[in-house]
Amino acid sequence: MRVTAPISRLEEIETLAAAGADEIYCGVVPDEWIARFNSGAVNRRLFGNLRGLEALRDAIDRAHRHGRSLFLVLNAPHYGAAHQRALLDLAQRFRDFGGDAVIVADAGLIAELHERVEGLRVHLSSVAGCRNSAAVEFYRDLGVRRVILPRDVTVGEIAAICANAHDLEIEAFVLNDGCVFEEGLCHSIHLPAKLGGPICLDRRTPRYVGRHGRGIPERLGAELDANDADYRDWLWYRFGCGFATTAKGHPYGPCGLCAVPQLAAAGLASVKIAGRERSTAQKVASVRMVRAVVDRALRGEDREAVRRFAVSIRGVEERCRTGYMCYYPEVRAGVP
Amino acid sequence: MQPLFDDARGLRPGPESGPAADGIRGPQLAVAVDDPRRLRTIATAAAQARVGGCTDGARATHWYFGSEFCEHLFPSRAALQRGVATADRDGLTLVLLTPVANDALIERIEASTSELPRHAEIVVNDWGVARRLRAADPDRILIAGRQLSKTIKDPRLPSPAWLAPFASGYANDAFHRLLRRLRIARVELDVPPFATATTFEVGGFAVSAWVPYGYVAKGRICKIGSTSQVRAAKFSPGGRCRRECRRVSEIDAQSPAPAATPVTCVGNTLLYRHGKAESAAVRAGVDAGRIDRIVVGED
Repeated sequence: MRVTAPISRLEEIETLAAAGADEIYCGVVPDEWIARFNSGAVNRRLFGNLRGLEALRDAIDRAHRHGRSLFLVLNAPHYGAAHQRALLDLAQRFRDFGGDAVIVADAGLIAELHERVEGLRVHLSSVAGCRNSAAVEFYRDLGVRRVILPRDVTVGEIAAICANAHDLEIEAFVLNDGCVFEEGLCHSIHLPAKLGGPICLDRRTPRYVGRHGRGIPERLGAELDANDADYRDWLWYRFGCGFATTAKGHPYGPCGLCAVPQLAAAGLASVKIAGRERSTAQKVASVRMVRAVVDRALRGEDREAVRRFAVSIRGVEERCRTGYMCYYPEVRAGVP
Repeated sequence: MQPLFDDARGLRPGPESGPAADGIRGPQLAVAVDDPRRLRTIATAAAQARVGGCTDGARATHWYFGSEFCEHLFPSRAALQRGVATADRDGLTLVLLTPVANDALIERIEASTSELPRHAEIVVNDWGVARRLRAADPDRILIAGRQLSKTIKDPRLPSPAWLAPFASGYANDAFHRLLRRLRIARVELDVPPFATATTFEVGGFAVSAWVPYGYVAKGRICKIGSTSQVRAAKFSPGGRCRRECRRVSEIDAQSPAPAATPVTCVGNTLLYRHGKAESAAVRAGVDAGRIDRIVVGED
């Protein structure tokens, strides 16, 4: 099981490799793209990208000097025809530079890359929302070699997919960045605060109404209010305990460290650390946490011992016990 | 929530068209209703509203049944059998809605198709479901659901200029080739903000437009579906529910969206209601021959 980590600056490659990352992924915004489309929307993130093709070439060289693979994200949920043609050119350049794989979500673009960019390895982005073995087969037909599963799948579902994946690699989230919605099924834009901000922060003020002209029974109304209070707590955890870190700089969640032994046993090829836009210090702390847990799991240490170690890293067991900080709450601390 | 057909929301009848006015056949009318007991009422109301140019007195021809957004709402075998009988009784073609699925649900979906008559249609929102159903039955009518057709549909956007960096995937040839590869017969679309008639051009495929709601985003985690669970089990993937979303929806009391497009939440899905501009776009799409089916969703 490999540890896959994000960078947004070239110098992070050496730092994260030293911290224990096996694979590096990044985004790039070529100058030609900005000139042509007057936008930096090459991938899912407007920020946290390398700037220019020379930086991309440099990133590949640096990663390879350290024996690491370098992947390029081209992972917007959808592209128009003109953007897609530009991406085919970008992917060819990346392949010619020696890049190891592109990470793509748009099924149409994947099919085009498979047909037109010979020798390019394609990983399916989590943004595609591939959640079952039949979808894995669909993407295998399009030439995909690795599937990155979305958030909010269970360990059991991951194991079932891994069991049916054969030679195709499966990757799953292990740390950082949550959302209320499924990324590939979100059709909004992270707007500025004056226009409502990111819709996924879910800062709505709820008011419940009965459907089909019916009222809401009093008891259900009280349950809904109590549920809202729990939901507000969950949102806080879901967004990194208020977008915070521990005093030692460890990120909170979402986190899947407790599940690493089960994920390794299922045959997962790699675990993904999210957060291209985070600081270098947070990325390093993230990689060190994951590396330490993965190494214990790969050494065959007892699952419960690995879980205790994972929980001890942050020293906030009471938060871990809630399960609200977890990608895989079914294997959290305190659950037999 | 607003009543289904509220003239003030722009869903009033458009200019006369269809057989009564000019001899041209209007779009097919379909209704998406989860409870068969409301089917006739909704179908009648939809016909009378003449949405998108459906003529006065037109009758619904298709009934969308099931759920495209939630794995827990996929009908049981018994419910599906009742649905098939109801559709037959009312002379409607059954269209089975299917959601994004895990391995276990795909097995159920595939097994359920044996309950469907040959002319029934299936809406797929998951490439895996599509692949599996097509492999099982080369002749089954499959429709690409709204979750396979990607575009920005954020009702809060102040102008179309915001959409420029995020081109829709509808018009992309590569997307069309994938649909043809799976022998998809039809594409279902929401009506995004700032839509025009060309929004509904999808590589020559038959196109349905959903009214009067579009979806902005959906999650697998369901807030309202967690209501009955103990705190420690809430907001987890795959968690069970009491189907609270069938009884209750949620509106944002302080919606940042423009007044004509309030945001509402049904189960795990965030929706916007069409304003006059979206209704006009549907009408333009029908007039241009690009929309040939209107699917009316429930409040």
